[in-house]
Amino acid sequence: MILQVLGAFVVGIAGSIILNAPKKVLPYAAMVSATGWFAYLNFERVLSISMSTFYAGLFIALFSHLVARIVKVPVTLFLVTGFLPLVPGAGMYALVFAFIQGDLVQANLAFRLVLEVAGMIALSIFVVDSIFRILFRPSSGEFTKP
Amino acid sequence: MDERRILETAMLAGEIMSASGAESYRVEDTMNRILHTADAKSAEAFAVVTGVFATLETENEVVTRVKRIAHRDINLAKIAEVNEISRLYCQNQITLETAYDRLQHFTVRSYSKSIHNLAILLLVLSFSFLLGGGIQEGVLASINGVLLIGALLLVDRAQVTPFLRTLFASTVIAFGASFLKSFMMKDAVLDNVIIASMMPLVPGTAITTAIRDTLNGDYMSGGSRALESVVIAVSIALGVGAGLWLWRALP
Repeated sequence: MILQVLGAFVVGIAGSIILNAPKKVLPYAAMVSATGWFAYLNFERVLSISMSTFYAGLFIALFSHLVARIVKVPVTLFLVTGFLPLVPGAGMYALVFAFIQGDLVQANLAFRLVLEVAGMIALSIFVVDSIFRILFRPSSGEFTKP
Repeated sequence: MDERRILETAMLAGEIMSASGAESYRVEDTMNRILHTADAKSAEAFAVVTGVFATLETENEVVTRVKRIAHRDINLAKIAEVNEISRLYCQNQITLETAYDRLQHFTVRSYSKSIHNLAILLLVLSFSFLLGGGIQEGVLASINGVLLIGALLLVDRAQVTPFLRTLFASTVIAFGASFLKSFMMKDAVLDNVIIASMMPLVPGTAITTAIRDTLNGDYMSGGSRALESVVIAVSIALGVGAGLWLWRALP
């Protein structure tokens, strides 16, 4: 478990470098993806894969929005690396593997799981985005002419 | 002409952000904020994945600019930098000339090619641990990561389409992982090694941006980005399938 969370921490750093994120966000991105993966691992003990993806996703999106407001950079920087561990890579692999073995039942199950997980990622980002949009509605009078 | 310069600044900001993979609503928002600093009757910005448009109507003229974005390359640092410049400008902390100048000349402190490759290797290794791998999987994933970097260098030199690039790279990692497993560590978990090595190819930014664009009502950008991530995901799946099949077809 510690090794897995440590892995997620390094994923945050390496993922940010690959996407050319500014250096100052690296520690925060690593923190978001490590705590997100820790949350997922704990949810997964009691819940199904798609539900734990949803709850962990809510947590990651919420954390990303908060950190983005503190560091004052676009929230995408944290969302992308934060969700990287949750992307259904394993499901995709299982799908291809089942196909090659000719096991269409297993392939079908894997395909549904991939769709479910991807949908849950989308839903969790959407929910938190909507909450923050309602809470922090940009006021038009905020900016004045130079 | 102050108004024209404002329009040009907005266009430049929009162009850089769009080309770096920012969400359409963010591009439009940034452009609109810059445009609204002008003394104009109306101002409007419009952005899709492949282009940005802006128009500004003053007392005696209407100016419109169109910019086609042909080449896109994901660069989160550029998005953050443009965001910063437009924020400073809109809060009156820098002048229009400074903002325009900084947009034209800013150099993003990008990472060198070797750091970038090292990050790919690190990502593969850490994903192997993240997915519950042990020492054996870690070693195999690292060697496979080097193979992946080599494959990517090779395809990037050939300048092929993104689909072929991902297809080739994922074929190499699936074949390489099978090869390494049977010659070096027979009891390593193959799934872990392959999944970890295909992670650098996963279109994470395209997926996230597609979701946020679609839910914002920017269906054009959302749709094209969703299609982009599906195409890349399919090419990863095809490539992994091809690599595994190749290994099995060998006598």
